[in-house]
Amino acid sequence: MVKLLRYVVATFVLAHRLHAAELPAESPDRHLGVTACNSVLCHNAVAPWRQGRVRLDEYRIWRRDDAHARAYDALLSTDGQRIGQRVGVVAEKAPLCLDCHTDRAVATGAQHTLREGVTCEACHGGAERWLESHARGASPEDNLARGMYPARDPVQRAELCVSCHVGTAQKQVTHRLLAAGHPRLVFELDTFTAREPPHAVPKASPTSAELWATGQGVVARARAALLASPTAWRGPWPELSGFDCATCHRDARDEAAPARPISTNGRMGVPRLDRAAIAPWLDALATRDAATAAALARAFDDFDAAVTRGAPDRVARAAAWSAQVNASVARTLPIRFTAADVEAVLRRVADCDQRRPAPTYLEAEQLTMAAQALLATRESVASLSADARLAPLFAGTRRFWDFAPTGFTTGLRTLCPHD
Amino acid sequence: MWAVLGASAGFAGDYTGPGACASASCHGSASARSDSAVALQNEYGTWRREDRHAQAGLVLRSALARRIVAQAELRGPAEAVPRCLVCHAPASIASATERAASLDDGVSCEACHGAAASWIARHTEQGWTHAASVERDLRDLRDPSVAVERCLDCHLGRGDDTVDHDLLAAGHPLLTFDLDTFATTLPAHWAPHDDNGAWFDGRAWLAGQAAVARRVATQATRPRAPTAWPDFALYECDACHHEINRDPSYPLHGGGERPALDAWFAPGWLAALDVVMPARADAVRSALATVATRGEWDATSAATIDAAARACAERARTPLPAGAFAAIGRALVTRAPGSFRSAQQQAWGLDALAVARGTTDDAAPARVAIGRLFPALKSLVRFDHRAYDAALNEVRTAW
Repeated sequence: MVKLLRYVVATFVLAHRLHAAELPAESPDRHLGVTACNSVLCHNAVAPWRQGRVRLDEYRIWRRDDAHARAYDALLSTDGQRIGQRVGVVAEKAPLCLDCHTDRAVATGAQHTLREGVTCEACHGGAERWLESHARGASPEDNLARGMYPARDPVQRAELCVSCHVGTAQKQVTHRLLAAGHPRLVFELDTFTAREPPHAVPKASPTSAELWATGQGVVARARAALLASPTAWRGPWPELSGFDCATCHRDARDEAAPARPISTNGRMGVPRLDRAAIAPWLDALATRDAATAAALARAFDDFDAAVTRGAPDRVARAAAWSAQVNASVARTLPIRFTAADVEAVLRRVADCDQRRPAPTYLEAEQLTMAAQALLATRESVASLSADARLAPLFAGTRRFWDFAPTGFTTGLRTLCPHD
Repeated sequence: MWAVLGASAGFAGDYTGPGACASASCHGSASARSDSAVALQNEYGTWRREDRHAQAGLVLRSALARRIVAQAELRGPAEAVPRCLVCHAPASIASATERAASLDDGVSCEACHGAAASWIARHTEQGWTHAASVERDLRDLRDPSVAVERCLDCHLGRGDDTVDHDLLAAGHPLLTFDLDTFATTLPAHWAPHDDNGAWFDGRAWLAGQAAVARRVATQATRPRAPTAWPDFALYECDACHHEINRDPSYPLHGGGERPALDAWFAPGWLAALDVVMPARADAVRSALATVATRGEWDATSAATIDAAARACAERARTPLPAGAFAAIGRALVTRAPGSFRSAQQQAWGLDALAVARGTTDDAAPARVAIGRLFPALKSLVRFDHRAYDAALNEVRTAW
């Protein structure tokens, strides 16, 4: 009974806390730097401690294998320096770059820790109020109450990742930055969690498919918020990074027939917003609320057409679009999938009913990662990155310029059940 | 409606049709005649047989035209779309009754020379002068600055009658223009005489440069809906249409978030202004810098270009001092073109300037070197910067 009560209270606290959790960079809690965590007796164990809730070798995994540990170094690389020059900043000094390439909260403290890159506290939150208590064995609820970020919660984790991997109005990889050579941002929660590599003890729940769906909801919300941010609408162009790259960056040979279909909506030569910003979420949402998913698909097309037509009310429409996406995500997350749900989403992703127009490159990239997460869940395996069924999809999306939608679609449909 | 469209297409007066000019004793002679001071008299035959303008209307019935009309969502067929007809068979716009016949005639005599009804009967009279016809509706094509304005109505566009990005995306060929090169390529139905010397001493190139700059500025700043995006056709094609990679070869322009504006006309004209009217060159350079920084055309910059172009056209009405074209060529050959289209303009300009400075022999080293620029210019999307730059170095040596 006491146990149950504790569970109820904890759940309440957790739910309340989750709603209010500030991202680590936004919280006033002081960040203490990695040296507060990396004692051999704490999170720098030589080998994982198998009996516990945590492995205790997290620092080691992060330092050795996790690209986040080299995020600051990237600013000092030839590419990083050149990108900085092209946009007129010193990469290792500019907030534009430091906001995501290091733990910015540390920037107010000791300078040398900037070099550590995206550190423990960049994700888990400033340890000022919980470092000592958690070392003495405080409960997870207690840690959260003292300002640890709830990274274990899929929605909260997605929000955290997305704040850099998709961006916010304050932190974004704009077209200007892309044109200067910054890699294009791609994100899918399940794939990126698997590739990080994980430093958490594996759990049965959420499944890969649920993580995928959660991530897509949070990404869709963030992408819509970017389109609705006032900075997206200065001058005659909206912020170009919201568009499908291939809509402009395509071979402009003197041929009336396009080498690759680009727009599924409207005529040739008209830029289109990136459908991959919403399409994967609609695939997930359709298992819960098919009518809303269909309505959102239509709303996206309308909004898209209004943007490229230069409709006078396009800024208001962007806000309305963002609110609509936000409502669908808030109603649906957290999401749990039955085996039948996974099957249904897989059928949609692989387009087994042949309803979808040929995917754009950016959609194909997302469809590949979705297929991987869904198959892994269906077959209860950790990773399918070497699976022969997925190889043609990964190969087909390796290079943007060479993407062939027909071949990709054929490869994707091999995942459909043979009736 | 036709009258309104006719006015926008540059037609004043009544149209008569090419048949009215084609009599064997007028401009339809089987061969050129040497007994006429100003006309070869076989102009109609040259145009009909060799000049692609004569086929411009029939192109609208091609499979490509059908595809373009469908892709651009115009209300087809092409031979009934005013936007197509205005350039492919302009007489059909000027005169509804001539519509069917004019498709076969394409861009015929009056499309360039002006509607003939008011002067055709009288211009054969003894003592009638060219000036008397010009006072009516004859366009004074002996003056390149006058002629080029009519060329540009179609070869660059006039108002909304233009090949915008929608039409390009639908498969319409990209428009580009160089007066001297295009006039040289056109099967000539004229010969040099006392009153058309500007066409043969380099001034046609200069007049063309000024007119193109002015037309680009006018077109770019024409009134449009305030929320409308700028027409993509104003930007460098390859600013967007290029492979994405980690090593961008395109410099970021001042506009930052915007693609680079296409100032393909600028290098040749600036080289000329530096020699011919340096004060104007500075004003133009500064206006173009403003446009590049803003990533958008503005009325003040367009007005500066317009004034300079008018002054330049006026200057081209009288011969330039000896050595002027050689000096312009020297300035142009040292410039590194920023884009495919600038390179194309440079190559055409250098050839025109080489001839204008007196290097008329096709086998002369400079002309041969200029000829080697063109293989790199075959395709916009496959523009080989390095091959072009290497060939340009050879031209510098030979110039």
